[in-house]
Amino acid sequence: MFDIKLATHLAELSKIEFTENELKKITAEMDEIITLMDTVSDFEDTEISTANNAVGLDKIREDLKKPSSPRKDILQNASEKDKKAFSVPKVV
Amino acid sequence: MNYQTVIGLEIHAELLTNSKVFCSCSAEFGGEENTRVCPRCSGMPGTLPLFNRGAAELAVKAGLALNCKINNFSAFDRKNYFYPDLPKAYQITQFFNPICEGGYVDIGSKKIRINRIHIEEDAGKLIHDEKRKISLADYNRCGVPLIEIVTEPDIRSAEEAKDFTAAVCLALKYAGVCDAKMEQGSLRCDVNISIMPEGSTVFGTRTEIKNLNSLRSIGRAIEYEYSRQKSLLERGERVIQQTLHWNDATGVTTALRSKEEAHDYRYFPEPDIPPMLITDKEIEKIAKTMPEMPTERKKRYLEMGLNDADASLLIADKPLADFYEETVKHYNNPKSVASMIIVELLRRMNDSSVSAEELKIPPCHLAQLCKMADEGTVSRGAAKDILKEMFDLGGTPMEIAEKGGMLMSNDTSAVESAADEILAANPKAVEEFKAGSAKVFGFLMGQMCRALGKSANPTIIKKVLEEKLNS
Amino acid sequence: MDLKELILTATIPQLGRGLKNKIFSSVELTSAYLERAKILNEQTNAFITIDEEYALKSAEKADELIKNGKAKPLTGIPLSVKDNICTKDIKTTCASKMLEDFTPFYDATAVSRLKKQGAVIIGKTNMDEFAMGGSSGTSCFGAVKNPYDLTRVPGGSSGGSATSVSASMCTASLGSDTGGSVRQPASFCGITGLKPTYGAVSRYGLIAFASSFDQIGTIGKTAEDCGILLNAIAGKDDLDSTCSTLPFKNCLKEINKGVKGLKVALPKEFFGDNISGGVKSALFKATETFKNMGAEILEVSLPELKYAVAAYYLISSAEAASNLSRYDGIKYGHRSEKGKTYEEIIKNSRREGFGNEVKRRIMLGNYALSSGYYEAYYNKAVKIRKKLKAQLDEIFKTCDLILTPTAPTTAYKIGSMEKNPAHMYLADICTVLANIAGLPAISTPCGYDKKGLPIGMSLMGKAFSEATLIRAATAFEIQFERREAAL
Repeated sequence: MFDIKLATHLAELSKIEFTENELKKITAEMDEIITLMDTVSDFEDTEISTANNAVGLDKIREDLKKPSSPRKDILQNASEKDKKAFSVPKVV
Repeated sequence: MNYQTVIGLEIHAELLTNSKVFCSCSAEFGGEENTRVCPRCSGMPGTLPLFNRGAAELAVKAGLALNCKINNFSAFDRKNYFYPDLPKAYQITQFFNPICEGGYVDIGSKKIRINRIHIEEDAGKLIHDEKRKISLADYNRCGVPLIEIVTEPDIRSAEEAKDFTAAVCLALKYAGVCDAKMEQGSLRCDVNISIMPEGSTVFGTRTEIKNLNSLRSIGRAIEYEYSRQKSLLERGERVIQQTLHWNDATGVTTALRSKEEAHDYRYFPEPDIPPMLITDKEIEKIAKTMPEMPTERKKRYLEMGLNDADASLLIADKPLADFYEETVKHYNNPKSVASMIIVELLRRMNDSSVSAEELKIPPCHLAQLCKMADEGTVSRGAAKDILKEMFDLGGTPMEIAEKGGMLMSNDTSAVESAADEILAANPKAVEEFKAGSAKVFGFLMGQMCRALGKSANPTIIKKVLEEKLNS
Repeated sequence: MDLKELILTATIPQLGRGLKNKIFSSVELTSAYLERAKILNEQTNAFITIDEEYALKSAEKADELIKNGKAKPLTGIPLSVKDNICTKDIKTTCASKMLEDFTPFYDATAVSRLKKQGAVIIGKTNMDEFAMGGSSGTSCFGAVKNPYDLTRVPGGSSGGSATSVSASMCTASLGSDTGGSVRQPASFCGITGLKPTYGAVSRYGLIAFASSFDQIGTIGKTAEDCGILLNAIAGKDDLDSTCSTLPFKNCLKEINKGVKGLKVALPKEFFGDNISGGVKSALFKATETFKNMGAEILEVSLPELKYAVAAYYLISSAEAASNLSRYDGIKYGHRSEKGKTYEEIIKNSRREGFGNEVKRRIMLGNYALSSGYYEAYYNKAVKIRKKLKAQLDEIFKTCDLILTPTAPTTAYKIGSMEKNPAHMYLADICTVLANIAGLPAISTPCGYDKKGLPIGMSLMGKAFSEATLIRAATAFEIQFERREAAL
């Protein structure tokens, strides 16, 4: 059963603020969605060996340094910043 | 009641790659804020991680250095949490399939088992501005490659924890995996610690002390946490499982976060990076590039005739030990070279904070100096002075000795005429010697040395003087 | 030559010939499309951004290339790009308030490859927010409308791309397909949509929804047009390590081979009660056409199909929850005015920046991954995915293609499905399989219902068999009379 308590927990994990009414609404919607998802519980596990898509070391990027981006580009889409860095309210 | 401490360590070590672990930005320490950043390491929309082969190779080396099994198959996972120093809001790490498993480190008194070594990315740095009540996020460190070395709970004391960490630092430095500069944060340590009544086999509730950045603070934090937990239990209270911060200035641990909600990192396989396959052949190839590890090197030094203390002292500084070996190659007298380095050179290095890599003295010159001292070409005292000059200004020992007139002369005629003069000038002393006073011989020797200067070979002076007196 | 008339039915090779033979210039062609696009955008809302200045500048450059005899198949051809594919210095919003003002300083690999050919990008198309949906109704810029009936949805999530092509506002378009987002809108809008094999096209610069499913796809009026675009954007890319390192083979090389001797499988599970009568009968007619052209039709079974939708939603939402965690209002994107602490600001930014469907997916994803649920949901879904892949591999041992409907119904009324999200998820049953298994699939028009709304059919093939898909779809196109939208 998908209840308000679970919705509150998931909202916290998701870092999304909900009003009480919004939380009620999404709880009802999630309940239906989870019911649909519960169909997977009928699936019976069998060991399936499939080829994995692992990649050999030789295919992986070589350890070479390249120039970084201009700082103004990195910061251009941030709404709060100083000349050099992103700004957030002080965290402990 | 007496309590037993049970400790497990998690050591984070930065890998010495050129580029970051998932992009091509420089992985070097430092740099102005946000100047070593690109769309990938700042988590811009649409960007993807590109794993760095160099990080895999160094992690394998770390595994080999710490006696681990290297997994042919390893893969990355995401650890999800929000913090302003983590721009993607997940850390790419290896949770389900780490690159190395099951090693150990021998700290002399016992073996500490290693559970696993995995690769992960570092987070950025927050600079706190108290006045403006803001934190500024600098992403230069985001994506710097780390390995995390996780031990089994085999450690039983602060001493063992320090010995283990020191041994790991040394092994990683030898393997060229990490420079292990704890003060710069390139190697840091989390301590998991619990206590249980002596004789018990059931571990107590553990706390985790985060981010210790010196051997001293590891030791102090463990001692403090042991007393704190012990007094809690003695008062009949419980130890709460929590994450603690060690304050080096106050010498106290404090809870990092009030225990709101247990962390749920929601690990799952990283879909942006295919799993990695390392063949046995590739592992062998990497193994062949491994230098001799400190424990093996020490064993060899003991076989070369050094004592335990000297051998330990030399291997603790890899560049110095390398310098030592180069010197021995030029002059095969391991004990003499070791003593010159440990007694004379190391003192000067410490006094003027010069590292072995910064030495002006090439090994062949030091070898020459040792040989000259051993063969009596210069006196022991002169050798010290020569070393000082070599250390400060450079130059070959022979040049310095010649210039300073420190070469011992083998010309007996000068010694003989000096002896004649001195014996003639001190008839009273000669008489006393003949009457059986040995003390006066020292006086005469002193007179001789003063007259002949540094270049005189004391052995020859002694011989000549004895002959003259007894004739 | 009346360009206004020509562009209503034009394909890329036709326009390419006109440009090459100097019958018209790219600037003229682009202007004609822009004029139409601006007018029809009022009615359809297909575009979030139309960048006239940039388009005309690109057209001038293309004309220069053509003049110098350096024309490639896409040189001077006006195209549109879905707004979740990054375009340097052009806003890329994902149709979300969260990224309303986001301008990347880098191009997606697919975009830079189009630019390299001298293609003309006229604008960025509307879509479901973060590509989550099948109606293009969850956009923060308002719903997109179907060119065949403006009261109906164009499908989604690449509804703006499909509409822009269907309404002849541009020649062809790049979309993205995570669970059917290129094929289903192509089907609703009476055109062709191709989802390539996972790894055929670089995902660099495609704003991630579900990384293990996402693939950039192409939308055009013919399979050939889709193939021309795919040839331009596909192939090894050092910026995406999930992109195939094998050279991508020309997917048009078998285009005229017909279907004779091809083995086409019909899984019976795709023709159940959940599929509308009109769609089923169009599909059966199409099957007859294939048979008449010399293809061999085989009936097969995919018993585990019943788990496909749930497995798809569990894994894709889990990946989405993680991928969308980066939107905290700090580095880019909407930052709430509400809240004093870091925690409060991100919670409010995400509350204000994300729409309801995105929030549901994030909640679902975190549910599937959270402690205590991981095994029963996420991990179970991963096992189902493996099983389905294995079953498809088995079918493809004896067959060349799998033929299915693209959607259970034709385009529905705008707003009619929003009340029941779970019901809407079920409508993805026909398309998710290709994404679950990473296989290529193409949707091509195969009929019209009683209201004149287009019906699409899908052909799915083995990994990297895009040439076979284009070959079969082209053979069918020749037998089928396509109707243009009457806008």
